[in-house]
Amino acid sequence: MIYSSKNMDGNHINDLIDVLLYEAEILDNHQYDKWIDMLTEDIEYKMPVRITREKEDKETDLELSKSQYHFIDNKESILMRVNRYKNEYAWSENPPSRTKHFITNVRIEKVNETESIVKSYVLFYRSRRDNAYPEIFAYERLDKFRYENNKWKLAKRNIIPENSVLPLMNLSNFL
Amino acid sequence: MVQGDIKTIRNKPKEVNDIVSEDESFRYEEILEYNLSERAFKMLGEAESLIDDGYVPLYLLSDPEIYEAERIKVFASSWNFLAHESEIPYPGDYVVRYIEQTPLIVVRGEDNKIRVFLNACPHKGREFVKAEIGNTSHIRCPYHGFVYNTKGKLVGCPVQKHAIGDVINYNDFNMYRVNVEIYKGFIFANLDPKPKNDLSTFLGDFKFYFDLVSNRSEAGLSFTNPQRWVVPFNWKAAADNFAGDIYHAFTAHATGYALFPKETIKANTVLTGLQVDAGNGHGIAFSRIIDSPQWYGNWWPELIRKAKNTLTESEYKFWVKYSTSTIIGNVFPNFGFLNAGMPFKGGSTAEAIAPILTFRVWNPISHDKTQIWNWFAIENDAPEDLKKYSYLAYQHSFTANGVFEEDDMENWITQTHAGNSMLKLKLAEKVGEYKPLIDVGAPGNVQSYPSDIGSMSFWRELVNKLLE
Ligand code: FES
Ligand SMILES: [Fe+2]
Repeated sequence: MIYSSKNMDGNHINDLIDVLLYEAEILDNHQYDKWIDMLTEDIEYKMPVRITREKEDKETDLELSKSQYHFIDNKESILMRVNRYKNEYAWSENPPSRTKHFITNVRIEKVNETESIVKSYVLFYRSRRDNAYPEIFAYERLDKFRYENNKWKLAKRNIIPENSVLPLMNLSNFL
Repeated sequence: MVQGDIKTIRNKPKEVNDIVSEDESFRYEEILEYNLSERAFKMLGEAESLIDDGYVPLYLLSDPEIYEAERIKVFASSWNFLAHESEIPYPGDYVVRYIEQTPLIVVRGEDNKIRVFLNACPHKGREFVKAEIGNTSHIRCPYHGFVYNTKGKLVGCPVQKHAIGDVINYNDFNMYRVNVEIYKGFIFANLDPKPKNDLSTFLGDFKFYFDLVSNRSEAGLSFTNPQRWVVPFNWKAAADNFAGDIYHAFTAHATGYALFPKETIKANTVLTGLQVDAGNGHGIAFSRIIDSPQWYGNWWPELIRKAKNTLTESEYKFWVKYSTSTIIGNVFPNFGFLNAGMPFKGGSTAEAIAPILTFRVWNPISHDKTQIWNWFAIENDAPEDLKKYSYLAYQHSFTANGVFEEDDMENWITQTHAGNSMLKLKLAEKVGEYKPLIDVGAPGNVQSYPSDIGSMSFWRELVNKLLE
């Protein structure tokens, strides 16, 4: 299901949805260089640890750790990870994980000529080695895209995990 | 950096009447019985003599019956690390933790004293708290509304007169208490109501080594929230690794080291190190790159002066001489830690390596599943830029997506998988066996790197405990 807010420039909305789908395709095909090209130079890429807490007013905010992250990356550190994955001795990805990023519940919160805020849900499906049963992990993306050189580039991604305990044997894939 | 979270104090609900004076619960319960089957007894007997010869039978790692025995004979009677004091800094702060799958609440009482209780209500066994962290003045059971103070004492329940009258033995309604002891801010608990030894005896000679990561500054350490993930391996694979496997680093972590600035790695100097069997199943390893406390020397030379005040003289001498680059250890049974220099992005050359300190619990879920609890820690008085870069270096190297740690998972998962074999696989953990013990002015049995001596001490203690 893809839903776009009304009163926005239809072309941009379709473009942004294409961008999300294209990104999923290259991530699932391990085309890391193409993915790097989709990121702005000042990309902020984060996933805070989720904490189960009693209900409070600002619920989700309180549930996100301010001291511990599953991802806290910039372009340089993303490049560091990518360079590692290209190496045949990166045992966690050799043989490589087989993944699908299912993107849904897309909400475009704001869009203008230079910037857009896009929220989406992702169901991350991963199969490794000869395991018949996949690992499944759901999360929400809070993305900021910037329009640079006629392209939408990812400037910020905040990943809000559903789980306080990750159901993944490692996090060797970008989300 | 820890605990930026809002505190909420809930007062005792008004409709609940005081029924007893607010003193302390001293209610402890016995641990369950466990008798080894004939099969397990025979397997462990064989394991005992194999270990004497430098072999480890792989069935120790993966066998479900061995796992069942460990629950009672290892975890229920050891001192298990639960939390660091800095995770519950204020009165009323609590965290929920586990020994194997026994749910516990670690709470700092209104009197500032830290106590550990079973997270189960004495009325019908409902778990009190499902949040992992919080702050409260009272604990109220959501099932029938019994209310307890943070000292574990029942202070009231709805329609008390009609429900429990006043003829009842109130002690039946106090929270189940668990023995707790604290070493340098590290909170350990023992489920045995009468622990066979105190924490200090349990740690024994290992205190000398544990001080090198826990006691370098009077300001103490600060822990982050834990990162947790579940991996299909048996907990002992990680314990074996942290108790003394530094040898795997250059193969298993080849791509991690490839990320270090070239001038910081010189193979010939890296191969200097020590491996220690510190007794009671505790193992630790040290390696160094150059002759000075390099990472802290670059980042925080002050720490080297500070440590002189907090470490004993022999600890300090040892730390400066031998443990300047990497320290990796495991407190029996499943509490690991690592202090190492790791790359982060943002600096250049030698400064692109920052020291990191991480603690972890290999929390067993079943014979082939483990939940990893992973904390970052740093001295409270560390310079602010070091705090920041050290965290980044840690996050990028020793977490679920760490450029080092990711590759460890594969080793432990496949070892566990191989353990499903129907054969009595005899592993030769004999690296370094031929080498003599050396005297470096530190306790325990010490060998030069590389050696399996620390890992073997873990297996030996495991079998001892199971046969006890
Ligand atoms: S089970 Fe807790 S009050 Fe009944
Ligand atoms: Fe490792």
